[in-house]
Amino acid sequence: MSIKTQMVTPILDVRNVNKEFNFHGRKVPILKDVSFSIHENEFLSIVGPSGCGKSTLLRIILGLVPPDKGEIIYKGERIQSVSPHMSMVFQSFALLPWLTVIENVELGLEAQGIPKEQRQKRALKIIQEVGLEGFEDAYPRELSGGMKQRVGLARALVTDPEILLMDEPFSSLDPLIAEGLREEILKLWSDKSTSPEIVIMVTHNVEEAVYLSDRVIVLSHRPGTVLSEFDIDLKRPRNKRGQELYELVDKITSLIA
Amino acid sequence: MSIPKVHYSRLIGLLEALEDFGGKVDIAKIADDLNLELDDLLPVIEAAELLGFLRTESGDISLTNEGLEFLSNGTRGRKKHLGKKLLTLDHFKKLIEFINQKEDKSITKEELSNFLAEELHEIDSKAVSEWTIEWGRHGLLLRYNSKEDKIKLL
Repeated sequence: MSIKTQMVTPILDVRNVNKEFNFHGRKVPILKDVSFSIHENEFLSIVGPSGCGKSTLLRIILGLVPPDKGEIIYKGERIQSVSPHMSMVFQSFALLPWLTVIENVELGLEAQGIPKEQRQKRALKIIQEVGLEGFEDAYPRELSGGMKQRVGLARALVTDPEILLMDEPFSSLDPLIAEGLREEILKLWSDKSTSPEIVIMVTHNVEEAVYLSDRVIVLSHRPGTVLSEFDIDLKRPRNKRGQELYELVDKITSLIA
Repeated sequence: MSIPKVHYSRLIGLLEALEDFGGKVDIAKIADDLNLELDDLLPVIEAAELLGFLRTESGDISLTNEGLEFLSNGTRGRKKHLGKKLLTLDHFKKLIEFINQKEDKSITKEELSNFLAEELHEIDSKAVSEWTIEWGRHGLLLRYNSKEDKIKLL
């Protein structure tokens, strides 16, 4: 771990996480002794080859899947079920096709028992922030991939989470759409008046990870274990096509390949 | 081309990428960088050109002053800017006039399609009506409720 990250108390601690899956009666280890911490205002990416358990790790952090061994500590407390302080954006958008944009967004609040009127007010505000204004009444089938992912993002943000988890959020999008959406995620995260404070993103795209993150964690082939951590000390706004960025991308890629 | 026929999010992506390249770049180079075929990129370039955000010149594309101004806005500001820009296109001008003439200030999707075919001579009027709704929504000019099948002015 770097000196810089040791000095502050972490918001979230991933401690010695292990996970196995049963596959046709055989136990397959997916994650092995994974430990790292996440600090305030940090944008963290987890990269690794496919099948290294990075998506499983994200689900364990959220509290959706329990680890076999190890624990997730959020502000000193152990996560034991889905945490209300976190929400997740999925690669596949995971929208309900029979609900409109605003109804899909409000869904994030319904579970929290917030009255209808308040739900609508909050949903409309987030819809505006993520650029969905004008599409409130649209159904998912009427939307492009980029707009669908904005709905996924709005649904995640409407609960005002401290930590936003993103599982390959750009990988099923057209490259141009992904380009624009990355910028918007950065804007949302860097605006200190809005949530989230922390973003944890899983991606197989090293360039994307380096461009967006303060720190990149590299997982090994299955079973995934932390191979290395990189502090990305490039000044923001960053030049996506700059030499310094590419040097880091090369270094990290050579670890994975 | 009467209105853009690509997704708005792609237009934004192209403009953002172009800004990263310092506002001017060779078309082949940016296509290669974005991992896109030229065929994929050209309609987006055309759309940006139609809106006055970008200029093409001997194989290069560059941001116009208006394009730079558009990008400097936040999410909402961009939509407002886009809306103003769309209103300068004949397509939207005539459509809004048409909707305004209706008693309840609304039309169905079929009425839109017919209007585009008959009044604006669009050949593929069905597809163009989808783009009209999409861009009208982005520019905060139109609302569309598919359950009631009503297109209204915002």
